Amino acid sequence: MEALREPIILGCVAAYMVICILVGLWAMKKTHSAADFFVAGKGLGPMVVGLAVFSSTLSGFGFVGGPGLVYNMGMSSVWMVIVSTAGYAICFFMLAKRIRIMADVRDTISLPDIVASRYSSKSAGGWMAVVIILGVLGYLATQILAMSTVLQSILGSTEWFEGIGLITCAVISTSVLIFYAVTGGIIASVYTDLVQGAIMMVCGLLVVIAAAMAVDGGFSGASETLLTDDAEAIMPFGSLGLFGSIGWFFMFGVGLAGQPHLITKLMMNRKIRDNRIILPLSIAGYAVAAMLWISVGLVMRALVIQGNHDPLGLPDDAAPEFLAAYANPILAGVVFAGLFAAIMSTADGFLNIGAAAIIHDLPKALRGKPLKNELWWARIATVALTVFATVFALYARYNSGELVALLGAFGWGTFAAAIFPVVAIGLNWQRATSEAAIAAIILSLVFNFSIKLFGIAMPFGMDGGFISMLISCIAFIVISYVQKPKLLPADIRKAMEI
Amino acid sequence: MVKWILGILVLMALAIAIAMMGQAPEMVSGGPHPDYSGMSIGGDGAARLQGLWVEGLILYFATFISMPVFCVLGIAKRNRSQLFWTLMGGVTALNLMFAALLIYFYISFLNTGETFLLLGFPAPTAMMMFGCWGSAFLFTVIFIWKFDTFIFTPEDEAAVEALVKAREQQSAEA
Repeated sequence: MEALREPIILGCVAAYMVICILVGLWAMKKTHSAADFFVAGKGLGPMVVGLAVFSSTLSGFGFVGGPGLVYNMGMSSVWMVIVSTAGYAICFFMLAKRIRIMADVRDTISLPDIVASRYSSKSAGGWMAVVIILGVLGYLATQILAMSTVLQSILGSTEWFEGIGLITCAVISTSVLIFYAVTGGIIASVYTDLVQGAIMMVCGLLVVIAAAMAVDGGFSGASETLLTDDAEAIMPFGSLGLFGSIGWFFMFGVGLAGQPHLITKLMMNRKIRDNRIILPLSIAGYAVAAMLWISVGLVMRALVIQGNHDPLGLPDDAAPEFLAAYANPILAGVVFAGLFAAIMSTADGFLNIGAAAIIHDLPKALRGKPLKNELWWARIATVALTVFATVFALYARYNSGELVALLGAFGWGTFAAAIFPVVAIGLNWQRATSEAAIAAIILSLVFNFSIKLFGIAMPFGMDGGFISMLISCIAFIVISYVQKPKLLPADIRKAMEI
Repeated sequence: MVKWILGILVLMALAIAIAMMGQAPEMVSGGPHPDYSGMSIGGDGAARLQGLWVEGLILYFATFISMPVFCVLGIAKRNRSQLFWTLMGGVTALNLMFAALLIYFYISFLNTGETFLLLGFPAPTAMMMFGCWGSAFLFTVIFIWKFDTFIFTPEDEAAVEALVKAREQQSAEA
């Protein structure tokens, strides 16, 4: 079987890409309106939503960038993972009920719609659309970069495609993504999430076993190797240190409730009561699949230090190289296909909310009404966003050598800082004002993008998104307190009292 | 509750601001590995936190405390019963206990250079991996177990139905 490793892996990935195209065609038949395209008609069951919620959190960022970060800095990035139990709880306590009630009461199909209704302000909705478009570009670029990196690793290891370039891989993978996203919309995304979620839960466990077997002495052996080389790497705060790790802990835990691709999915379930099933399912799926993030990164670092594996060219190569070298060929093939599923469905989710922001929310904010034939325009916007994000991803990689996870952290931080105060706090606090919401959004955008564009280093290795989130939350609350409380529309007030 | 949240956030911001006033110790956020270009190292853990322990621990514990406080904000005031506070308080205390054990074992290691492995990880890391991660799952248990009491009561459901009906009626009339 070892001799057939490359054809098996290639076959699994090719089969997955064909499945994507078929799912896209199937979903196209079910997509008749903009509401179907963006929120699946608010009629999905708890299993589908539960797996879609966790799948959209653990994407290329988690499966490619995560192991890369552990390889690079030890346990620091694991704080992004261990906060998941508290983070999902915060998200569901604060938003699961509230966002669905708002969507029902005002018949909304997007997050900016909800913001505009909550604050009775088209400007606030418009600014939320701007945040989504900008954040989507960063995050979508992460997915495309991850997808291209994995494809390059698979194809490059075969004789037929030896030396294939990253740009060619980006073109191949985005072509499939465009077809799948344009035809199927969110329905295609959530149903592949279902398959992907199931695959990743099973494979996550198997990969952990493979990782434990790859290094002498299992995880204890890996820990001892790391303790001898640089103890801080295997200590809880990793090489990044306490401040940087805790910054990520806050940003990824509390900021989970500010991720639009995730909270939009809370509008898609049939009943509010389904959240009792959705929440534990999401956490269980995430916990199992996240083992891959931690175990692969740790084991690859230990193997390289022990001299049993060549040093990696880039930390992002940790997961692809581990699968190619240490996993059973069939497991590697299925996990690679699952990786593509993870990346592609998350990318589709981002394209969806990005397209909604461009063709539904911005026109509503600027002209007071949505475009005619939204479904057609949504598909055009999807293509444009994909092409633009691909160029951005390749530019980031070739100009600054940006790692998948760090690009992802930027996207996450942008969303968390701008959306968490306005949506998660704002939907639970009647005193919050539209001026405070707009100020928090603008502050967070200016801060986040200034840090990125001017390459400003934050103190003690803390993520700019964390500092930005602190600033925007404090500004949002203080400005709301300084202003006179505003009278809310009766239906919004009642919805917020529930 | 929002005043508590503001207080915690300001405390975190102040801890960072005060820490920034002093000279940052060398390797505070790591440095490149001497042998492998894709890896970074932390070096001497005690030296890189010298003079930053108080601010660091304030930030650390404030972050842990902020999480249940945000959860509470999502619960309607009338549903925050004594049982609710007891359950949330209990889980928070357990979560904080593991967070404190993590720091205790970490400081012990920095002082003695010795630690023990627990389920494949050094003791402080095991507290993070299994204690902090696992104990926070109890917030989810509260969410599932007391959904009808704290999160979405039958009265809440009736109120939502009434709101949706009113909206549909309004649309039909329009």
